Amino acid sequence: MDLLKQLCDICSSSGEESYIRDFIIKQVSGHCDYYVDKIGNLICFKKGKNSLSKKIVYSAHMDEVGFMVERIEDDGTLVMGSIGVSPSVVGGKSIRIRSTVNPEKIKWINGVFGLGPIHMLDKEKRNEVPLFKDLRLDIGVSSKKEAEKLVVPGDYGYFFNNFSPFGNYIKSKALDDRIGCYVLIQMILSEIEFDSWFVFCVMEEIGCKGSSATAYELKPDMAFIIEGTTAADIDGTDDVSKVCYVGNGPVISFADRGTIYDPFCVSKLTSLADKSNIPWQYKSFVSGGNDARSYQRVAGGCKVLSISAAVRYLHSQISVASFEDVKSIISLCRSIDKNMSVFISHDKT
Amino acid sequence: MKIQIIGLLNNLNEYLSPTGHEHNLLNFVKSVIQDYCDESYFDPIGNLIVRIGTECGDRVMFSTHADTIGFIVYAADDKGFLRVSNLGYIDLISTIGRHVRFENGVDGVFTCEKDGNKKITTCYVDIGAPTKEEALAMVSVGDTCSVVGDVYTFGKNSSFISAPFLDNRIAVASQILAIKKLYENKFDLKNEIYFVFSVQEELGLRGAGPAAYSINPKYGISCDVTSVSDTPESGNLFQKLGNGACIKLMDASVYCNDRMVSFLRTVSEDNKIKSQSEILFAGGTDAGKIQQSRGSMFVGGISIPTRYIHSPSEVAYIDDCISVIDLIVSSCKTGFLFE
Repeated sequence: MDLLKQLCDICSSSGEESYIRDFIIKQVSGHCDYYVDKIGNLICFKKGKNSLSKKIVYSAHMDEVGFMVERIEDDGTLVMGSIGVSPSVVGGKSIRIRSTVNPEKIKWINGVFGLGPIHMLDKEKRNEVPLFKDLRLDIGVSSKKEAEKLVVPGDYGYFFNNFSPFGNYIKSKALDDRIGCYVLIQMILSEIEFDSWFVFCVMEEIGCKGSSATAYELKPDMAFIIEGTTAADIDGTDDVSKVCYVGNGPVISFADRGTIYDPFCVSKLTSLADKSNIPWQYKSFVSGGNDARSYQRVAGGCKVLSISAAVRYLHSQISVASFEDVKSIISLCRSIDKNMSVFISHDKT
Repeated sequence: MKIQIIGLLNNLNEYLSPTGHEHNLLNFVKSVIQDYCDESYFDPIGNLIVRIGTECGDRVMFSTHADTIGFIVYAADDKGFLRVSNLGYIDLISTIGRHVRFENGVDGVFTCEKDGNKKITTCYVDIGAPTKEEALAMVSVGDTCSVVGDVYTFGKNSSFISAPFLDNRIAVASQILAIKKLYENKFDLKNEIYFVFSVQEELGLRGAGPAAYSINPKYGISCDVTSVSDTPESGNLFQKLGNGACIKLMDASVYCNDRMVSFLRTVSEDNKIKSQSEILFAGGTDAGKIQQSRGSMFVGGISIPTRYIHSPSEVAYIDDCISVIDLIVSSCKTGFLFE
């Protein structure tokens, strides 16, 4: 669990993935061959006990959701842009900015998304969620000049680190998709049956950009995407809208807004999970999208499958997941690796 | 030819092909054309690719999408009703209350509360199951369904045809008949010709890109339906039912290459094929993705004018299909040679 905590604690959003990438490289170095492509994707090749005439990819994304300084106002407050975060989860929260005012010495600047006190809001306003363009980040100064000494437009903002186990589960920022990174790292650190590619993509949260490049570069025969997906399994949500349940095992998708998964492939995976005694559940809603959309359709395309951890409160300050689910995902990936002939016909060399 | 078109539409009507789940229909299509081509195979995303001609010239790719709009089950509620998400753009108003069928043969009604909010999340499919458990014993999460209906002709001389999913089965039928005619006539071909029955067009032209990338054609033509404006209050589109095969100038996904447009016009004039121009401001076709898939290529479209697209009762004019088949065959016979 400590490795997962370290992965979640690193602040690295779409476009500045170098921080998380450097950490991942430290973990996998010596256990696989790797290179970094022109836009920052980390592409790793791990030799298995056997070669494969087909190309298999396991893919996760390195970037987390975050913010960016767009403009410094005259009164010293900041207009922030959102990278994947909804305005409804930021009011009243504090975040910190990785300031590049002095590029030699990066420092953290704290700020608060201030909301007016309830006493001063009239009735209609009390129920409105302000848009990002109307929110301001207060960094504790009162003039543009002072603010310019602290931050630069383009600097990234992050939720504070907050990883901890609680009850039966874990809570943290960035479980989406450091869980995926964790699973891939564990596979790389262990012995695997067949030669495989492990791809850590950039810029998924802004539209699966990184995976477009890795899909084109590698042109795999099959891709398995390891993600975090939204769980709405709390009281007050209609049963039919809960999507999936934290603790009920890896989530297997038959469709999302980016991909319709081949039903034969999906049933091979669910049968394999049953055979391997690994709990699993469907993603019981069609929503969201992930890097599968790139691998399925870029260049000549390939078959894809998504395996996710159920994560409550996705894309917010603190998400909740089950570490048992994460371990089950690793077991499922190992089972896929051992039973690769179920998914692709191959010639052993 | 009219009998063959109606016969094929009836055959196709035996199969469901909601977007992403086209395999049953495409297996049938493969069985029909596999003796009328040099090669037929499926690619990774599920497109059926058919080739006529071997290394006899620059590659031409016709692309006709085989998928239709439909629904996918994501849950069953406590009262035994199935909750579904839309596959492709569904016109809810004209679909509420319709008979739907699942791939495994289970029938049901897609509907919603009489005075309820008409959104996809408040609609449901009633399959006559009393409880959640019984519903999920009949139909699984991830199963797909679509509206079912009859194929019938009507109007003066029975020239009008209505069937479920004329978008895009009327083009699928036309492409099948064009393949057969081309193969049987054994013309001296000037191109290596690919006919793609593409998948997942209704989700944003997803199948055509990978097919075009693998085939790498010099000339690409999509065959699809197109909207018309010959109904009351329908606006000012140029194309109309009965005026022949539509030669596409543009739609929302593609601006067709002018050399392709003039070539198709010349072929129709020279062969006395009834044709009309087509301009569409909304909607996309496979040509859009084919054009963006590789380096330079010429793209265009041949369309079948159709009324009430994406409703359960689409209507087309049979003679327009015959014109489309003739235009496809004649253009292959003439040969795509322009630069």
